[in-house]
Amino acid sequence: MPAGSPHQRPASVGWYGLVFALALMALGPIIVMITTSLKTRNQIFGDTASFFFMPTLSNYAAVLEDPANVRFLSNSLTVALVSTVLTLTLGCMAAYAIVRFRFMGRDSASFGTLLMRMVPPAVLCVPVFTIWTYQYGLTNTLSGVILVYTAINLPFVIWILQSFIVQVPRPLEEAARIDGANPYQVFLFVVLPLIAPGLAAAAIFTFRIAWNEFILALVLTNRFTRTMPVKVSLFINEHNIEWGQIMAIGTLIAIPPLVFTFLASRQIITGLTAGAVKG
Amino acid sequence: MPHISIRGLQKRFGGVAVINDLDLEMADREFTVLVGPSGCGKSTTLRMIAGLEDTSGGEIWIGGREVSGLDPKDRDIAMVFQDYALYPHMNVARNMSFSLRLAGTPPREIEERVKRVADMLSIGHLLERKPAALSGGQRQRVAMGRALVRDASVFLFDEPLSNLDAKLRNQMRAELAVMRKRVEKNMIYVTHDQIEAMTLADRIVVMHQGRIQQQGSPEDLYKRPANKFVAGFIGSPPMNFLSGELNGSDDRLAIAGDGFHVPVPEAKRAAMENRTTRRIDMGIRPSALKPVGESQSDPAIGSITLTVLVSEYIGAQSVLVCECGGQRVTAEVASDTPFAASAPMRFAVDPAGVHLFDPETEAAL
Repeated sequence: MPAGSPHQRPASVGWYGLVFALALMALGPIIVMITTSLKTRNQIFGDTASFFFMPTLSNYAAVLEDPANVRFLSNSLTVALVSTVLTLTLGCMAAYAIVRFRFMGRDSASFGTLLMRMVPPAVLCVPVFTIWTYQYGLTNTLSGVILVYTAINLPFVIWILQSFIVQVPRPLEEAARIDGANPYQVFLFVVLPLIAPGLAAAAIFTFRIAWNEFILALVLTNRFTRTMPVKVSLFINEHNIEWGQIMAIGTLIAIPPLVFTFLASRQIITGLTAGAVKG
Repeated sequence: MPHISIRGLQKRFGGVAVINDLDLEMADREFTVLVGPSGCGKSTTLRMIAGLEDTSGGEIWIGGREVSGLDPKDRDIAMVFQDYALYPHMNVARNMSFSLRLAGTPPREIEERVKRVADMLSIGHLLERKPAALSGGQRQRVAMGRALVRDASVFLFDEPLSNLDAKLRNQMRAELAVMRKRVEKNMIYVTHDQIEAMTLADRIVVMHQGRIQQQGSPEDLYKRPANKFVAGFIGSPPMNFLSGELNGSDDRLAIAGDGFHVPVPEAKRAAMENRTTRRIDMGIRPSALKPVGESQSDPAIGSITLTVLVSEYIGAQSVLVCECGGQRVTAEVASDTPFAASAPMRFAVDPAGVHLFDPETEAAL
């Protein structure tokens, strides 16, 4: 079947039904989250599930009036942003070295980074907690969380960026060297601008993992340094489940990754190297 | 004083030697062309001069300084790449000024120099454009501009015209020739195109299998090739080679073979006298073959009988592709010369276009 031919597509009721069902599956939880966050406790537990209700911002008010929540939000932002910057900085340099320099163990280093990615974060909990606590005293600090996130994300970032760096034509780097650039300047002024789309993709990926991560954050933080995902889980306790506030926080913490993704994706423009060499 | 001097240069990739003991002297303000077939080591040599490739041995001196251990940026060179290598994320002005900005040149001076060079290459109106928005010829100019802005003491060109179409290539070649008169710098130019080499060079260096076969002025190489390789490489259409035997003696000494009999030119006679073997290779320029009628037969002038296979019409000239005793021979004749395909045709041989080579060593005799 030729791709993209409109005549071949089954534009039947069943087709639209399927699309609608898929959309509902994707959007349903988000819709429930947002509507629930706008309901009072009574409305949430009312006998009739209603789409028609008087929306209230009381849940948001309750969440935002608690200074602890503001603190956790800023913890989350700090952790996600700092670990993203750190991961990208280290990742692009490591990827560049793996792609461009010849050294012993280069291929195993390249493959090894991907292998590291296959370790589930939950497996790391106990060893990381032990080492952080007894060797470095990093538990309950933001730096401890940032370090772990950087370590988890680094392999994947190195892996993505390698494929972008390979595509930077070597003559460009040679031209820069002839033009008087030292290796750092070649990297900074020629290679980095050209892999901007890759950096953006990697940044989105890293930011979202760091922003959403739960298990390690739960283990490594205390009541001052915890991040938002951990905080949300604490609304569920033995006395009470604050569904309205859980959903309000859920809605709030979905916003920064959206904004970040939107900003970063503007960098993802393909064909940036067009016109570099012949063509 | 020679400006660039290469002594005993060597390059090995793994165990394979690509450049063997290369010695080369280039005078100041000389336009030197390194020419040879693909894989002859000419680009590698250029890249070693530029510092983009490590040397495996030998020395490179630029202006009385041994540079083979230095970074490219410390060698005071500018280079134009085969694929242009323009920075795609910078506009033309920023591409051209990159080196000056790195060197910390004051912005006003940068602007002045970029403008001067851009005007010289007539790309002044393109300064704000990105490379992707330029045509091949314009990119080529920008690449040259980027080198010229530098005011380096040595300019290196790595097959800069090979990506252009034929018409543009001729045009840029002519512009290069004009430009080099204005920019009196040491230039080293690598190409596989012998026409570029002939038209641009003060001096041509013919390379083959990592060795210099011959160097000299274009005329030198055309008229006095040192060996069979140079003879076959320089000149278009390429020289014909025929194997024959010496016979006769003294002033009747001639090279004879299947369908040809060419007296040995007087200048070469002495060299022939004391040869031990009678086998010899003869090279004849296609332009040295003149069609003659069957009746005109003068034993003092050599003659050759060829079977015309096909005629390649070029314009004023035609190239007749012929056969002679199983060997291919081309003749360059005026295109109004009558000929009959697959019929024998007699040609007189101009002794000035005849070269003799030793069949063993391939050296010119």
